Amino acid sequence: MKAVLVRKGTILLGMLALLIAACAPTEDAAREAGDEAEVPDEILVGATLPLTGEEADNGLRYQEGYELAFEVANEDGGLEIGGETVPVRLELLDDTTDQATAVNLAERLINRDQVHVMLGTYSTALVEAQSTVAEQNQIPYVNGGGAATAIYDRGYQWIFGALAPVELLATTQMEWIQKEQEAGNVPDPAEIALLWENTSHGEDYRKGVQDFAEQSGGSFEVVVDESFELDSKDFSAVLSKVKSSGADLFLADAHLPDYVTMQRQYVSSDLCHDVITYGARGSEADAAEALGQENVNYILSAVWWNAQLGEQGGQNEQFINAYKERYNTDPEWYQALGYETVRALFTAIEDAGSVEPEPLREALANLEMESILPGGQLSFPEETGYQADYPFVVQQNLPDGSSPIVYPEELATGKAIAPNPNCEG
Amino acid sequence: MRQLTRWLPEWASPWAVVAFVFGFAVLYSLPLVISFDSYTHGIITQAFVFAAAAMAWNWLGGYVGQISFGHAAMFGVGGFLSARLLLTTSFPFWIAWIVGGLAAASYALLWGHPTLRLRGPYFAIATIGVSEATRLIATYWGDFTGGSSGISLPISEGTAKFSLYWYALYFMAFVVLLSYYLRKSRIGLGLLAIKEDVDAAQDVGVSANYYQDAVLFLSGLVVGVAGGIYASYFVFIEPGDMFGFERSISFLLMGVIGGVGTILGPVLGAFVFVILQEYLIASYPDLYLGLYGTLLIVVILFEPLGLSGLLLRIARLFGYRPRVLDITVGDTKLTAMEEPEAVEPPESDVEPARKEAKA
Repeated sequence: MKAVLVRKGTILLGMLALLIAACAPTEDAAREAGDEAEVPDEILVGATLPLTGEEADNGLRYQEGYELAFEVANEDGGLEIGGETVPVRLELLDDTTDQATAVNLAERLINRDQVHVMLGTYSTALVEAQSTVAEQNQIPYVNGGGAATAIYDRGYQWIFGALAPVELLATTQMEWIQKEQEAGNVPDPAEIALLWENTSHGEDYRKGVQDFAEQSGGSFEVVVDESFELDSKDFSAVLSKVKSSGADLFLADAHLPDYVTMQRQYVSSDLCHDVITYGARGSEADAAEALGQENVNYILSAVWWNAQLGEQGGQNEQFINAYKERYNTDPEWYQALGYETVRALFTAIEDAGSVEPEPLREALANLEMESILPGGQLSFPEETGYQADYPFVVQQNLPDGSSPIVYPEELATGKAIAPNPNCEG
Repeated sequence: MRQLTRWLPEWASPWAVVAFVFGFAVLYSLPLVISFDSYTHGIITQAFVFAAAAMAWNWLGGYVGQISFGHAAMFGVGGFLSARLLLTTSFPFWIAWIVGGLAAASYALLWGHPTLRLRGPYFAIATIGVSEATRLIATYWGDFTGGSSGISLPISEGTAKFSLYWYALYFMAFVVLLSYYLRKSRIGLGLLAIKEDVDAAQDVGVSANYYQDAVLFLSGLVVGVAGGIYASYFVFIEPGDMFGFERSISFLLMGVIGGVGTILGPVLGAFVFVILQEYLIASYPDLYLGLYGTLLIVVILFEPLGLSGLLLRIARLFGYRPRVLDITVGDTKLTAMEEPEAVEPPESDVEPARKEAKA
């Protein structure tokens, strides 16, 4: 009797499983049911930033830029789409400077919270990982935190980057060094110690320097070419190679935590070079605080924005005033890029008149807007894989704590000092 | 049921087969019946993959008693090799996963064969060293792993990611069967004998070297395939995540939370781990690691068999009593609870035999 019952029960269960499988809805049907109306009551923008972890300082800077842009947009009721003014809301999560977390949270924002569009996180490594989710889900992803060309040469159609390429950053720095070399302030030929983080960001920097050196006709020679792990704790091995090489120029590409650690060990190793740079890092106020102003003097950095661009008035001045009013301090390039990335997205939403993915993607691809960034224009050209392309500004730390723009000359607000006075005596 | 029993090998329970088929049917049809969003769909897919990896960790950590902190090494090897194969060849993805798994298993054997002669904390420390060395090599081997940035896989068209749910389910189901076989068959008894006392096990004819190597190979294979599926799911992997110490710890945590040494405990542990992580990390990113630590302490202090032990207590309240088996391995008589408690060798039988053999 018991065996018969079990047999019948098993057959019934099997039939039930087949029945529910047969009448199952498809994924497409489920998605269609969730489609949005054309003009929503609110535009929901999803984003993650590294608010904790190694990149927390910079993540918080980007957050300030994002929030300021949202506040400014909502002051007049929001964005104009479909003849209506619709408020915008930022759904911001902390990706803890972890790539897997950044990916998972993007999945959550897109597929569970149903955000209309994504703003990117900060740092190349995180953007490179996270952008795959946006591409998979075919939702526009606008970021101001990923500069490496590796993000944009994958053939993705939904990823837009507001940071100009790192290779151009390296080239701009080399142009300034060459100018100083021609003025007799840097040895000719000059030997370069080149250190780069082993990310696509670092590889782009390395390529920029190497290509420039190769085309310089012997004026520059790379004598140390070493990579290091992102978020390293010990650089003594690479720095000892730099020391024994006797190079004239110290060119490193590092993110903020690695810059602080490496510069501390650089100073304690009694190293000094005619030119010293950490790529885009060097002018951060908290780094000067951590290392001591005397240990960051004369460091050169090429950045995507400098607060002194505000002296030209216009949108830059408006942004700086709005930022100062809210945060009582001067913005750095991180906040400016966060702000400008959001503004680019908002401009595209208004151009598209919709938050539907395809029209918005088209609007971003065709965007031409006046910008606070050097060059005054922001667009996402198709030929660069939708990565913005505009000039960098080179700045140099001075003992008074300021970092004036020293290159290009038409934007310069101060005079460059080379060779590094720290090496005298 | 009697007919089913006749078809099955002696170590397999007909009730377990029915439960397995039912569970598989439910999980197979779940996304077709409940149209949950693709985020939830993805979380369950991840849970299947990690459940398989946690079971594989449990074969070594739970069945043999060799706690490994180095399984991330195999996860990473499998993941990166699969990814590279998918990027550079036209292999079907499942072949790339298997090749990645085999490479991970071979790598496991390479470092495991010498280190498995160590026991207890010495083995655990050795696995930490292996894992960290592998991570560093992978991080600096930029041409293969993409360095600290990692590598992106081609984004597949259509519903390929959606269908990974079922591939992950097949994989987990296969590993459940393997886990059951390893635990219930004669091999499982050999493993438990090694866990209790490696010298005594050798004395009664259980080859500790062979058994441990075989288990590590299988464990590496499964964890390597899990790494491959993980890479296909995320379409982006990087060495810090794949080879990191946190990855190794996560396998251990899943085992401990679910119940070390049990068959299905790691599955429960993996589901709890993945779901907790997903929901906590968005709201309390600073707290979730602390919460795992607290959970670990609570489990170790109050319920060493984790969630499995908790479920057993509840089942006992309803009158369930695990079947006690008398098993003979060589000349030694062992007493075993059917599930989930591990074999308890009677002191009076094993101890004198071991002492005699040592003498």
